[in-house]
Amino acid sequence: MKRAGIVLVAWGAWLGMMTAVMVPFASIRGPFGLHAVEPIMLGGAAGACLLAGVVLWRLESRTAKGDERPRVIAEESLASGALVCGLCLILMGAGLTALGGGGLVREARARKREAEPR
Amino acid sequence: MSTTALPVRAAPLRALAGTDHKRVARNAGAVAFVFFLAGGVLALIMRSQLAADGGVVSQNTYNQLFTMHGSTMIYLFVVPLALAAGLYFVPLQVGAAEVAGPRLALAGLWLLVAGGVSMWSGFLTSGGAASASWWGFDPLSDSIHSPGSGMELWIFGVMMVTAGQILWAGCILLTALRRRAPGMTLMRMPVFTWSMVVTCLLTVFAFPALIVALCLLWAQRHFGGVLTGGLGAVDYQQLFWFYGHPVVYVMFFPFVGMVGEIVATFSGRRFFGYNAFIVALLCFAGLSMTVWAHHMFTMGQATNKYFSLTSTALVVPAGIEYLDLLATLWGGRLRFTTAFLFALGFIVQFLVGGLTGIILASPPLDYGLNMSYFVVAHFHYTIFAGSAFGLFGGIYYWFPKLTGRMLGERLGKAHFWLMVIGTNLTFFPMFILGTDGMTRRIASYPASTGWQTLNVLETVGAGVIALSVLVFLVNVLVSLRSSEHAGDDPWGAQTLEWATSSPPPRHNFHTLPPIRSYAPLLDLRDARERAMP
Amino acid sequence: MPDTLHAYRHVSGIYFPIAIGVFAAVVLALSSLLVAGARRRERPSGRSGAHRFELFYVLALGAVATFLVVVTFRAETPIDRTVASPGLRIKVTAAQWSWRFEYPGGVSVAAVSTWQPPVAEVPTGVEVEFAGSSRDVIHGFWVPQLHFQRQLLPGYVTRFDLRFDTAGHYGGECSVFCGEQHSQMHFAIEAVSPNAFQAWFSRQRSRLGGTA
Repeated sequence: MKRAGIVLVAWGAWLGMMTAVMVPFASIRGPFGLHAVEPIMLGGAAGACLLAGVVLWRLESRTAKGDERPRVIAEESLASGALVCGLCLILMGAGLTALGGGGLVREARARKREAEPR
Repeated sequence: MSTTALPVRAAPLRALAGTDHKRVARNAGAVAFVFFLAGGVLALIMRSQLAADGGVVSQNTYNQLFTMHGSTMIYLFVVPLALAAGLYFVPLQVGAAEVAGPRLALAGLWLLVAGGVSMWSGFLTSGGAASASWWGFDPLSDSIHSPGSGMELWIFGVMMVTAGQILWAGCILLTALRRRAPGMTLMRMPVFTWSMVVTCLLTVFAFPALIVALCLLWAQRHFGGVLTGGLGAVDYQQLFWFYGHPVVYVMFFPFVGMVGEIVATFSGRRFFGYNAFIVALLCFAGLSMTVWAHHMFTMGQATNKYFSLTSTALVVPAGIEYLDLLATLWGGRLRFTTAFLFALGFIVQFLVGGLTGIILASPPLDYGLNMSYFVVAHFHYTIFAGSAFGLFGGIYYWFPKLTGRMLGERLGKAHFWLMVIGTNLTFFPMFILGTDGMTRRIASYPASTGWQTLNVLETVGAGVIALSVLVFLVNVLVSLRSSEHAGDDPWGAQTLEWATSSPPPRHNFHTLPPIRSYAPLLDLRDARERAMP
Repeated sequence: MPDTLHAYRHVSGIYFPIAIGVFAAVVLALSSLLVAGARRRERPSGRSGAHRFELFYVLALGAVATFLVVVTFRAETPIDRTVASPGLRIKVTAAQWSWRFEYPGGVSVAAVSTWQPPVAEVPTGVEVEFAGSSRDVIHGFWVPQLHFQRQLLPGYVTRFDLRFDTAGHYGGECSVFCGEQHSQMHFAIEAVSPNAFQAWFSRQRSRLGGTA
């Protein structure tokens, strides 16, 4: 096994097989039968894994193992921590903004309702 | 053994922002262990409440306690520690100089801290911490039934830590797939590394479902109309459990891998049935992605028969793994170290959890036992009596590699036996209470049920567990002070992490031994013995 | 014939002994290996694999799993169904934090106070169909003595049949965590002979007629 992508391809195929096993259960009627979300989630994971495996396989066939240059990495990375904090703040800010915007819309609607003649 | 003198002013910076995977993993492990102690304190308060049959805390407080106990133990302790073990040891075991994507791994540590602090800050708010269980299921967790910022902080915190865990899993997986040393083929990777590979596959492909579920929950809380209609609550659970079952396997596979290494080392022979074990790991992990709605059997809204079939099918790969673990003892010359004892504890106790899981995989039985203390017993046997024992085995085994010091064997054995007694005293009676009709997540029960005696016994057991953890902490403190150095390979082990100094240098290895199998150091020793006249 | 009690007893009578047997077998095997390994003085040795044996072992495990699945499917199918004409239809509504049982003809049973859970009368020996729903969050309708529960969802009606073969008092609990007073959300079902049930039911109807 020269290409490690095979692990992802094999696992994705196994998940795909288990999704296929769901098919006969679609013949059960009523609430105990198959629900769309079930094969969608499992099939989705299978597909994603297969895709990742194929991508990795293609990447590996391009770069031969022998000609890897020495890798240079950062010894410390305060920047990574700053990025994480920044992303958290952005998420919190986006949430607050959404809530504020929604609130303004609600206020405008209420104003309109009050202004209308009864 | 070479040392690199670090400028003193850089040291505090290195502590927070160093990219060495060993430092990130050690820090993550320490953070996770602190959360374990915090979650354990919550459990002790819960146990006092149940032994006294109410009256210790209010019902609302009790609901916060068990929500934060479960949330802490799963999101902030076992999963991070399982991944941290991989972050430390997978690069070493495959002969790599560094993990793939070290800054991503560092980001994962920051996300763990940020998320954990966020979740626990709920206790400081006026409404208290989140109290809709570790599942946060709708509609209980929506803005009508769980108002207040405790729930918001919980949602935010869980999303952060989960994102960090996905990053870690990606890094570890890529390390095993792309950073192996020459000669380290896929089928020569140690058992623990393969257990981490399947753990990371589960994390990468199942954990995003939780993030989606939480986004939908947040939207439902603030805008409504997302999880409504008769079956919106079911959609949340389908998404949640698509994550929620694989996560319990993320809390299993690394520890069965550790136990495999420990058993082989202290048996003095190579692991039995390596090929079958690897195939079993991959099938087991794949199957565990297909069983999730067995948590929804009693809703009557999922394909019960499919999920019952896949859940029961788990006996096949599990059986192979047990055969291989036991067969590794066959023909071995056993050394009963503390690490080995904990591994044995895992093998016996996890089996109780696993077998009761097969019982629950049958809907006619689950209809009678779901949401009862039978289930509480089942998952504590798998996660605590099983995985946590495996974890302590791993700690006793790998402590010398991390710190250069050995953990005391006397205190270690006291820790082990106290923990065995405490664990079984706490969790075994729960099987009885569950079959007798005691629901989970209740703050009190009528005196007429007669459940108090067993509850008192369980609380005593919890106290014994707490004592055993104290013994462990004393052992760690005393051992760190010891002046005796452990050396590179105090156990006579088999895998590459023992072929370097304790602790390893910055880039892990100065030289690598030849790699001809999944037990390179054993091969080296065998070759040397054959070469001697 | 849907009968949750006998389905549970039948299936558990197969599963529990197998589980205990497997546990005992593993502990026995482990103990003998530990004793042998502790005594051993020579160098450790042993095969690193046994492919044929492992294949045979996989097939054996698969056979056991198949057997268990067949037992389960056979027992599950009847109890998931509801019969076309049950002896009685009761509508159950769960709300934070109590229960209401509504019978035909306007008769209903609800909690008298927090300390007195509602007691619903049912006749023995017939299928009683429950149509359950929730007014707010998900609740769990659990009758431990009949080894059966169903989650009651808001905005959806879940139907299930229960059969009470023996007369007596059957305790009921809310099995799904539903908020602050989840611990107090009990109910009970009193199973009486069909004649006694008829008498009770007529009394309830006449009481309704009197106050109307």
